Amino acid sequence: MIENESSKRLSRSQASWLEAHTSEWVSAGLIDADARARILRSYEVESAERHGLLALVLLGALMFGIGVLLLIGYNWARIPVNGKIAIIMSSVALAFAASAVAFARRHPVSGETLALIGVLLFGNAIWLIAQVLHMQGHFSDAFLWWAVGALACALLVQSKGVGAGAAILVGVWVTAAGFTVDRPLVSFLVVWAATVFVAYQQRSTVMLKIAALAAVAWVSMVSDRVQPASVSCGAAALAGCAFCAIGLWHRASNPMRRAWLTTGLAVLLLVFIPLLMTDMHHGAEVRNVTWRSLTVTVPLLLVAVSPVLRWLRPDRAGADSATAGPQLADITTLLTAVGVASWMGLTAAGFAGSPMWTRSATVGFSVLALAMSVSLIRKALRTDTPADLAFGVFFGLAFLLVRWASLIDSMLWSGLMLLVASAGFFAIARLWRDRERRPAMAGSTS
Amino acid sequence: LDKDQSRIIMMMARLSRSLRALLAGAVCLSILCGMLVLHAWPLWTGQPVLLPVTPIDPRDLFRGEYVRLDTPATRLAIRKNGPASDGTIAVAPVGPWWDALPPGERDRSAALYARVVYVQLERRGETGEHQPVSISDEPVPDRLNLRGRVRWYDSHREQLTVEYGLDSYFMQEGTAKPVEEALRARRRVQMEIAVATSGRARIRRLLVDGVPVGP
Repeated sequence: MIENESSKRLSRSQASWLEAHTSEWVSAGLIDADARARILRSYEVESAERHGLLALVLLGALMFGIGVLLLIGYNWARIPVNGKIAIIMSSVALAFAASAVAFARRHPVSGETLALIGVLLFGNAIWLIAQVLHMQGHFSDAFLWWAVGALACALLVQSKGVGAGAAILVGVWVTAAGFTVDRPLVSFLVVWAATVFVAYQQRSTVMLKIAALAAVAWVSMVSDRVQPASVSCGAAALAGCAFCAIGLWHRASNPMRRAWLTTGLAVLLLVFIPLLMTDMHHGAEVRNVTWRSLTVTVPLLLVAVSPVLRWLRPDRAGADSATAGPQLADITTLLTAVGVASWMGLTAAGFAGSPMWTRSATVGFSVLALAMSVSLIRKALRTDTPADLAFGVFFGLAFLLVRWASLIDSMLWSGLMLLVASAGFFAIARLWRDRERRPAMAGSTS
Repeated sequence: LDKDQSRIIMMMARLSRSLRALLAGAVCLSILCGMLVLHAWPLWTGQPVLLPVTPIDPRDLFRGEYVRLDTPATRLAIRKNGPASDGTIAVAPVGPWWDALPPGERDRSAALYARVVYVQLERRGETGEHQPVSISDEPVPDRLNLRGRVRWYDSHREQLTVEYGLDSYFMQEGTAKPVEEALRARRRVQMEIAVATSGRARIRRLLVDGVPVGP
């Protein structure tokens, strides 16, 4: 199957839609009948016969695969160890050889699918070989090596599917390793850098988002064994701010910018929920800050505040409107990073525990959550980005739900709070609906 | 000519993607081969050692017919002189590393957690079994060193729980029965391992009353 041909293939419903609309366009005088005929001719409608044949072939292939696996499984105990290893290795080799043949015969989709099957068989091979040879070790290491193989495959075969799978494996590895003794420090940085490199090379935003989430899992787990929960939570919040900052270093037209920003805001949103709770600050445990936590938090803070350098740079020639200067939401994110770092520093210095500290920290994070909400909604209205609007609303909702839970005993205060909140949401909906009617705002959008 | 050239370029591009798929397969197979060699190295070069073992459980809930094994070297009481009071094997620390550990209970535990240690084994008795005699943080020259990692430190008993990667043995479906019976009848179960000069060990086979069991 050739990719450019497959991209011109339409389903029955899509073809009906196109036929109906082009007919309307001809009636409206937008295109002539000849152009309509040319447009319709340039697409191929998928037939039910083709679907049926494909289903039969897939069913046959599936039954063949399961049948072979069952036969091997039935005789597995009788097969000598060397035979088992040969079967395991050959299955991986065969899948990649078939992928190579598919690419050579100009079937890129089949080639990528077979490469993905090869990667799955490779993962299966790691566990089977370990079982057959009584190998022992941390089970997370198996995910590491699986991820390394998948990353190499994604890079070489240029498959976004394999790339996304590799990023998931990196996430599974770091999560699994978080529960074992040897938490990866340097090895994660190397694997993560490779994952981000492959994501950029393929321009895969999905892969980048998954890799960024894996990094959050890592920063919150790496110092957990010897540090209180505040360090894990604070490190995750700093990671969210750092992702937003990395996004700001990209041009507005770069899809990676949106991927970094979305992931950063999603992480911040999740971390803000515990940070808004009074119990989090009331029960903050004071321990000495270890070098492991510093190696994570200090670089994250530096990255999070790095956009200041960009904003202070006198020559911004060539910068587009969205990246030219700081927006209120960007400054709020930066202030959040400074606030979280200060909170972590003061907690480590022994200020935590007193009622005054608990109140101040709760109020401080509540103000930050509200500031994030307002600034993101403002940014969404100025730049016409629904994602920022959604995040702004979610930050507002997080603040509202946590505070409402603390006022739930008082019907008066909780009722008043909900009324104010409803007014706020109605106002946001109205502002969003009317955004295109305001020329000054519309003019400032990209 | 241009048409031919573009056809050659297209063929090269196709061929290169095809070759890249083969290269991806080669990378995956290299990792598997690396696993095999790393595993086999102590078996090829290591010194055979017989350890007494206690099968804890003939089946693992998640992995099927794995025999979970416990060796006397798993729990070690650190004593400079004299035996341990609870029957645990006492080993003497070699070198200044034990005394150099921080004094506080929490700091001592943190310093020991996940630390690589080497347990020196010596052949004792007529059964040919090896027993731990001392513990160090580096391999001791001219001694049989077994490399492990500290999993737990009991400060009250001054006891270490050490993992050597020898605590489970895969059995084929239905073959774990002799081990299960040996477990019930309290028969002699031993594990033959190969210990490389680096101290890394691999299980060679499991023996019940001196007879190999399993695959």
